[in-house]
Amino acid sequence: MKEQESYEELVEQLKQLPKKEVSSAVNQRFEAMEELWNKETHRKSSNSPKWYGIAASIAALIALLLWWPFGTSIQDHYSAMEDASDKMAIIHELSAKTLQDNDVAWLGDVLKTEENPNIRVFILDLLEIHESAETHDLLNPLQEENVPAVQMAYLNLARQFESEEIMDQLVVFQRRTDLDPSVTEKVATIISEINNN
Amino acid sequence: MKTTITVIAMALLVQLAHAGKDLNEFKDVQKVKVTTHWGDLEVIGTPALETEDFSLEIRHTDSSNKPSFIESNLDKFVSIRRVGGQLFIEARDPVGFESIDMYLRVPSYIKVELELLRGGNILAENLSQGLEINSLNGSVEARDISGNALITAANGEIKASFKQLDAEKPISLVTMNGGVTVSLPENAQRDVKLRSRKNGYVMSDFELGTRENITNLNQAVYSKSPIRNSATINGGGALLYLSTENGPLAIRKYR
Repeated sequence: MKEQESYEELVEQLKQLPKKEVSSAVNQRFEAMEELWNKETHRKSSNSPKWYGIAASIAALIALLLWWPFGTSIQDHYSAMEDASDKMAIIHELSAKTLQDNDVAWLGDVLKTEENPNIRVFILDLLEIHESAETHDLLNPLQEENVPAVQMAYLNLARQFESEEIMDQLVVFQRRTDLDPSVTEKVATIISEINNN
Repeated sequence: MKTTITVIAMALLVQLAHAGKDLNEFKDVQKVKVTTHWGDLEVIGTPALETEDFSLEIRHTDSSNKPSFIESNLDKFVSIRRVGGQLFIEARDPVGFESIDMYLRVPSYIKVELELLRGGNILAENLSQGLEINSLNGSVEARDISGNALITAANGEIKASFKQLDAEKPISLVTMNGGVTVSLPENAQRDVKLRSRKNGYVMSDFELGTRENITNLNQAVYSKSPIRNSATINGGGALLYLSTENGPLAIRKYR
């Protein structure tokens, strides 16, 4: 507090000092120096060879090409991630847009290799929403799937197809002896629905 | 005399508190993955430096249904191995009908992944670096977690309370049979996806930003039709995915 008061006092004292301009001689000398400096700068820039500017532009372009994230699509970002949470955040990003065929194909590939069950469920949920996801190949990993919640997500997707083309896949899956009763019930319901249609 | 008895009793208590396997030599790992078949799994984060502890106790129940804490030869029941920055704790394949309950105390800065392959209840508490759980039969409770969680269960409810969130990371709670309840800090911002295929309703302490009509919102009435809605909390943000085949969903404010 005391320090602040002493600063305020100092400022007041400075304000009261008489305003004094530099002498005209000093001012003239300064203006002459400034003019000389301006002339020198202009001469140097106009004398620079043109190739210097071109080379600088090319170097900048190369740097830009090296730095620019070509191909850093959502897929590339996903591949670079190790943490399951980060991967799921990327799939969430994808859920905000309308899936294209290449997105669906890529998600199908991820389903085959992704270890985290939450991610697999979320992808299947995403495919279920988008009508473009009508490719039966997506159901292939179901036969190898061991997590009941993920199996159920595959069956929810299968239900969207309502097609006899998936019947063989469902029948093979139904033969498994390690299925949870809820999963068994669900696959039986879907088979029955397809038969009735 | 009294003082001597007190000192001995305290020493015994300290000894009991540290019974089981001392894992403090692994404090520098980034992640612990626990895999078990039958039995409960309890993982408690120890946050403060003075209470920081890394240890494992196990209780074995054999086919005669007699539980006993394993004081020695713990390695006979679980294997503990380190691979790089990860520590793997794995229960042995069941010998006949047996269950192995695990009680793990872990420094809360270590990330935890739990896998329960057959059945048992899971409690994870006070962990700050995120949590992944995959469980088959039994309830899952994640209490006072910071960061985020990805939890999958088959038959059992999921409850997860977060005292603090990682704003960038998703929360995903998925079960097949059972309700899902999540508690979030009041200022949490989330994109919410709600899925309940049958017998569902949605309870929310937060105002859900959506143009959709959410069936049975804040009414404990089981819906026969599927609930499939998207909404936002506090303007939206990272993903909050709540999904069950059979049961209600609830989003609570953390208290």
